[in-house]
Amino acid sequence: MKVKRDTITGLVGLTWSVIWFILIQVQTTQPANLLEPGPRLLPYVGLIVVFLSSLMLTIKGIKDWKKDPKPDAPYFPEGGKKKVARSYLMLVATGVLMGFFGFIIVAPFSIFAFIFDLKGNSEVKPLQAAIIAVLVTAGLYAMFVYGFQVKLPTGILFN
Amino acid sequence: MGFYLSALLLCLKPLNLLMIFGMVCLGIVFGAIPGLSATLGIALLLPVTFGLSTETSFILLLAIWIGGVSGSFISAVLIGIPGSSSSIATCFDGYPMTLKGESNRALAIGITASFLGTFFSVILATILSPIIADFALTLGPWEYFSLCFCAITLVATLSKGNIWKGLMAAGLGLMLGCIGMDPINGTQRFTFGNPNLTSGISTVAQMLGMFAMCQIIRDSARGEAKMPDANASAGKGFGIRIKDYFDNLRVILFSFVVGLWIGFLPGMGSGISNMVAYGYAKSTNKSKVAFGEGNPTGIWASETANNASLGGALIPMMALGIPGDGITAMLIAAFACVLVAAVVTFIVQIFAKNWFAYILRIPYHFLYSVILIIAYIGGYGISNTMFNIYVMLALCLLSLFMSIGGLPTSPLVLAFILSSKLEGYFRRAISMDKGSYASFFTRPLSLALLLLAVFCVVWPSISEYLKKRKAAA
Repeated sequence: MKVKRDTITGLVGLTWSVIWFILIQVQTTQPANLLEPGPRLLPYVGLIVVFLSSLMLTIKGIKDWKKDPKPDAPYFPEGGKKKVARSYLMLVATGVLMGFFGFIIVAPFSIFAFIFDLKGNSEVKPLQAAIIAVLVTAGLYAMFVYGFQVKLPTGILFN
Repeated sequence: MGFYLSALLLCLKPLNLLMIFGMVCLGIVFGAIPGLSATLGIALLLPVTFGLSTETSFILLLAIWIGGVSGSFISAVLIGIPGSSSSIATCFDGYPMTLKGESNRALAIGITASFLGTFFSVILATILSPIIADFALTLGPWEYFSLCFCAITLVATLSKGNIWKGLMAAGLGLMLGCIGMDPINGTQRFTFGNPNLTSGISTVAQMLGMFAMCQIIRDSARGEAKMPDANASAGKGFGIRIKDYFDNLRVILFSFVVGLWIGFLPGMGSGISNMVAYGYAKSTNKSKVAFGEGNPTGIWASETANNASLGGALIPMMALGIPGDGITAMLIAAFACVLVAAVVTFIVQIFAKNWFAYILRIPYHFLYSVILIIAYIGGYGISNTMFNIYVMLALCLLSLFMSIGGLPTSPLVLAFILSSKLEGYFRRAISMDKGSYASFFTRPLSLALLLLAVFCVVWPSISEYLKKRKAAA
């Protein structure tokens, strides 16, 4: 990394401030003749806070870099970025598939996948993981649907 | 007093006591599972109470409420994921203590602080509610706004790293809080025509996405996914000594007052009080153990404050606008029931404490896979739509980027929770003053809180300057 992480965070914040400013104009309407500041007040307060702090953070990052041009230590260890991206995609896939197929079908597969995703260096037997995934799904379904009377996603296909 | 004693005797009847026990246990389970909460427990139990007598209904609902709020610290301490928003600050030091093999002590502190907070707040609420209510009636939106502003500033400026990161996170929290209808005119903001966004972003979805999901995948990717030593965590004895109480007495008392006061204010509660009390404890820390690295004072502050909010929340119900002997008697019965439920919760948690630690024996990949799936259930349960699951996933991504950028999550959470109140009180105050801002500075309490907020922002710079000057001399 050629610049400090603070500078990047600050620049992202500044960019977001510009986007937010445009969104305020497009997504909020200010009623006329109000005695008070109106619905655009809080969005603008948020904008000012983020803008100023991002600016200060950018400056701080540049100052720090001038003092010590060594790059920041990477946040994730080697392979960590790929791993976090894969884990997040699995979470998204679970959410999307649950919307289509419902909890009872997707949950065992997701638990199975999560177990292998989170296992790190531990040894996990596929059969053991599969049994646990099915038992946990059945247990959770029984507990929430019959015990707590909480609805679970049924899925568009089975609605 | 007569009402009170007869209500107490009613609660102590064997059948009622058994019901309190059952509901407290259920409440603890609801509180401890991320995504479920005492509110959900009450909502589920409400239809059951229609066929019961008023006293029994009161007992059932209050017992599950007390158990739920008290139980939320268990998951915060053991797995680092708060059961509900009332225990967010407990995570910051509770989980590091567990990682250091001190879960027995952390749980003991949580149990004791929860009990102290609930028990004494209810007693104080019973005695002082008319006085507090009289005082509270003199307050207006000016003071409420100043308090919210002061709370956000306190937490933002005490964030890890530097003040700008805390403020940036708070600003993002305010932006998230803007989504949905505005609290005064009902104007839609940032909804993009989606009706699901009209009511804004759910706090539960935010908590599950930012704490549960993000933490699990981030720790896994950073190679920090490990369970603490369960044998070391089991521990012997209760886990804390008398000295611990005295060492933390100042923080306990302050957190108690903060919790009682915030609980009393309309629309606020344990979700806010735990973070404000934690912020105070952090700002006055003189211990060698830094906050966020397993400092027990953090748990004392958070758990005392969130449970003290329960007593505070009962005051308006008790003292404001509810006349008539019959109803008053019923409300006194509620106080008595809360006291009994607090004692039962304390006893149940003491006996179950070592069982809680068994959760640490489950391998990381099994336990956290199940928690991830429970997070989906919690997200879906908010409104029985998939929408909140998608919100949860989006906030998980936001939290991940914030972690990479070194931005703390607590100011964002607090600013998000307080944003609608902050805006609502501010705009209401300006409307009441016909466009004038003067009352914020002419009302003594409002001015004092605003000055405190300014002091919080300015103090780190002054402190640094003084240190440099001292070092130079």
